[in-house]
Amino acid sequence: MAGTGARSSRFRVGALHMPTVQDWSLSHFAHWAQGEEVNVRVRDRMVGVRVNETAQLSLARDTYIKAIKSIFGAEADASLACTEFESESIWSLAITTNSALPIGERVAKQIAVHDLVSEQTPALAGFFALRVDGDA
Amino acid sequence: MVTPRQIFSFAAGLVSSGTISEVQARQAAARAYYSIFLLVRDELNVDTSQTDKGVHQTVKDALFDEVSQTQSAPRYQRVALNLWPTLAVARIDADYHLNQPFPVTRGKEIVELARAIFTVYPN
Repeated sequence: MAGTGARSSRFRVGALHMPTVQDWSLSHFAHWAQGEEVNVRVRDRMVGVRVNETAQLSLARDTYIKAIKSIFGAEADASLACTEFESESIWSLAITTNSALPIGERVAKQIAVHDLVSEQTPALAGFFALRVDGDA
Repeated sequence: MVTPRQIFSFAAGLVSSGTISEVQARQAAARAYYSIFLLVRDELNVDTSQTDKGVHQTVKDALFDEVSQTQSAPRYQRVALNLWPTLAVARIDADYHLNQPFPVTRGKEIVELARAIFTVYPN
């Protein structure tokens, strides 16, 4: 798993239609591994992502969702989003739960998710922004 | 002279009153982010004067390197690294995405996330 170098690479917007990130599994990457870049749809946006980064993104997402379900409960889920600002792309996971949680509990659970992920996979520390439903 | 903790206290004060406006919530979130950004920059002595990356990315990368290369990295650094993207996105939304709603609860939550870092910061 690459560190910050891979994360800070520039993304290039492309025009091809590909399955959504949420649909991806590692088996998909074999088909696209020959090209330098593929394009993925993140919600309603097209974002160019390098192949090795898509693999990293998928692994990161799966790792975080396991932690989210462990901390927030099995019914919790998360969807991927991306904020692009200046030269930086920040990936987020929007967490949905069955019930609205008070701020203190949302904060504690977010920290717990991050602790769990970063202890198990240090390379993923600080990879995703988290948002919990009920705060928007 | 102003310390990052004082900037955080200012941010917390913005969302501690009875009636809080969206402007206050946005400013609280942005100041909370900057309190952590400045804390990390100064604690790690990050040189941002000669970088081809953005200043913010440079500081975050330095924090990632510090935590990943130092087994005994202090708790506040680990929590700051974990929460960095959440704080950064909130700051971008608060400062630049004025046509999107920014709920008061989000401002309060960002302040509490930053507070969690200062709570374990020893100085």
